[in-house]
Order: sequence, then structure tokens, then C-alpha cells
Amino acid sequence: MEEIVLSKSTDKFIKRLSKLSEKKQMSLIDSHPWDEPYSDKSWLKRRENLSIYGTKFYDLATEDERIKLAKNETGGWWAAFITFENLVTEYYMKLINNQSLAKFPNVTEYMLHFCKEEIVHSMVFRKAMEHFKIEPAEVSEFIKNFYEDNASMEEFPLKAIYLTIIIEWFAENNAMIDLKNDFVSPLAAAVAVEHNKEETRHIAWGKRMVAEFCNQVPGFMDEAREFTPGFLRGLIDTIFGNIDIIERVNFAHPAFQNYDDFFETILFSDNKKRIDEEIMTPIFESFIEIEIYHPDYRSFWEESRFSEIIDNILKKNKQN
Amino acid sequence: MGNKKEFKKCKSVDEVIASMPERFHPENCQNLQAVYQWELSEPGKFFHVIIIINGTFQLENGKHEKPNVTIMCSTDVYLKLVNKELKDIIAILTKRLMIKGSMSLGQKLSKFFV
Repeated sequence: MEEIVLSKSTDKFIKRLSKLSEKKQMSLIDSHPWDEPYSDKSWLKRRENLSIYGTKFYDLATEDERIKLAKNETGGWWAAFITFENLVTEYYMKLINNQSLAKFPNVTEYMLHFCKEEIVHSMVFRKAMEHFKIEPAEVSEFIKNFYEDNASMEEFPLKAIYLTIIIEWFAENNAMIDLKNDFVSPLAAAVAVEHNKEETRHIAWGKRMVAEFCNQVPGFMDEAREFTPGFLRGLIDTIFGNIDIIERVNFAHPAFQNYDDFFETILFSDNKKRIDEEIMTPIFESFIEIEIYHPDYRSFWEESRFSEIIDNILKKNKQN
Repeated sequence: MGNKKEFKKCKSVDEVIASMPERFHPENCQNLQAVYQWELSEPGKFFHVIIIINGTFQLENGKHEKPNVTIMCSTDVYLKLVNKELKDIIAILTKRLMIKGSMSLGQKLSKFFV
């Protein structure tokens, strides 16, 4: 591998991110309205983002069941965040200890801020789950397998950074669209908003790292072009459809017992398509810009049912 | 479209294995080495392993020590997946299919045997 270099402008950008992290940090104690009284009638996400919204299952559910589903689906995302953020911290600390990025001290310094922020975030999510009395749902094998693609400590760890960032980015976009509603609990909304303030920096860092190094690390682009669409499809669908959450809500109507029909309906609904588009559009815009999306690899996007979103962005770019 | 092969449904794991040479697409696994292991249950429990080496494949019986990807399901679910009677994502969400190991390599599998 040829020597990997970091441009001065990126180095400066990363140094600025560290300064911002030092300046203002989320606190486990006082960044959120923890005094909000607990109520089992609180909506933790907007109604339109329920997995069942716009399907026959929404009509078959009672209002209490919908609220319970909103609570547990939000808890499912929080549990996924805890898993992601713990994995990221563990992995990045391994990289730091292994001195994989030692030749870029500002990158390493920012990674330390990044890890510290992730530790606080996962504690906040845990505290929020306790506040709303949500038992952690089982995290999918798909997420647990994250490490398998990240095991190498010897090569430049761009793939790990890339995977981490797309996971964080997509989960973050989902959290922000979930709270777009007046009646979402102020505490649940604050959990998302405060998290977003620091995650915006993490995502900016990751995007910059990928843009900086994607053409320097041999084989990265070809691999990323191949696996990204399928990876994102697996990620979004396995978080969106969680059998443990459905069992926990314990819907009264017998139609909910037919899991094949249930998951087939919610995963391929128009509402899910809309949610996919809202979450993925900003990510795919960046992929088009840095050519992670490449027309030669279009079949992967088609197979993953993302080509329509890509086409909408390309069309919009052409018009501008 | 006229040359498209008719999809023949398999009634047993042996039939799936017998159909593999015909369904194999070496062009989709050039420059790749990976071990895929199936852990099939009901009735009993048995393993079959496919080793991909740069556009070729070989089959092995028995448990592999270090597979890159392990796919676990019942024989019935396996046949439904092969015969396209069940979507893999639905099988995963209903916990009838579990995939462990490299996500990148796992994704590629569907392109090797079409």
C-alpha cells in the first residue's frame, strides 16, 4: 500500500471538530428534562413513523397498542444505538491502542472525543429506557455481526470508519424524523435533539475521512460500491421489523399472529418506502458526490430496492 | 428472455446440492476465497460447507472449524428459501433464519448460485 496522506485542510477541519467537542458536551445529568413525569400514554415518536402506519395493521390496532408500539419501537432504536455506540467505542479504542492512526495525531485526538461522547450517549439512552420503563429488545444478529467486517487492525481502518459512520448517520436521520410532531414526549425529543448535536460532528468527521481516503486505500471503493446497498437494506429492515417488539405489544387482534403476513405488509408498504426515502436521501446524496454510488454497480442498488431514491436524487441534481 | 432457464424447485437438500454446478456463476466470485457453512436442523442436525476459491467451488460435509459465514435454519426453511417460496428477510425477522459472520461475504452468496 502506498503511503496514505492526510491533507492539511482535513487535518485543520478535524482539529476544529476537537475544539468544538471540548467547548460543549452533553451531560448525563442536566442536558435533558429528566423530571418529565412518566406516563404510559406518552408518544415517543410520531404516529406516521410507526411500522404499521398506513397498513391494515394500523387499523386493527387500538390507540393504546399504537402508543405502546411507538414506545417500544423507539426503545428498539435506543437499544440499537447503545449496541452501535458501545461497539464503536470498543473498536475505536482498539485502533487507538493499536496506534493504527498514530501518524495522524489530530485524527486520534478527535477519536478520543468521539469515544467519550459515545459513552455518554449510550448512558443517556440507557437512562431514557429506564425512565420510560422499556426493557431492551433483542438486538438483531445483523447488528451483532458488525465486528466481522471490522476485524483487521493491520490495514488502514477506513472500512470500519465508513461502516460506523453510515450506521450512525442512518440511525440519526431516523431519530430526527421520528420526533417531527407536536405531541412527542419532550424528554424523548430532547434525547434525539441533544444526541444529534454531537452526532452531527461525528458524521461530518466520518464523511470527511471517507472522502479523504476512499481513493487512497486500495480496493475500498470497489468493495464499498458492492456491499453498501445490501448492508443498508439489511440494517434498516432488521431494525424496522422486530418480532420481540411485536410480541411485547401483545396486539389483541389475531391478524397480528400471522408474522409472515405482518412483516411482508409492513416492510413493503408505501409508508416504509417513504421512511426509507426520508432516512436515506441525505446519505445517498453524499454517496453520489463521492462516487460510492457508481452506475457500473447499479444492479446492487436495484436489488436492494434503493434505485428509485437514487434516481430521484440524480433527477434533482440534474434540474439544479 | 427466451434463453432463460426454467427454475426447477428442489424437494430435498440432496437435490439442491446436485443442482449447484448448474446454478453456479463463477464470474461472480473471481478473486474471492470464502467458506460458507449451512447448519441445517429438523430432522436431526447436519452441516454442509461450500468453499469458494477464485471462481470455483467445492463441497464438504461436516462442521468447518472457521467458516466466514454460517447460515442456520431448518431444512424446511432452507428449501423454501432456495425455491423462492420465502423471502430471506422475512425468515430472518421471524427468527427462522440466522446468519452469522461477515456481512459483506454473506451478501455475495446469492450471486454465486442463481
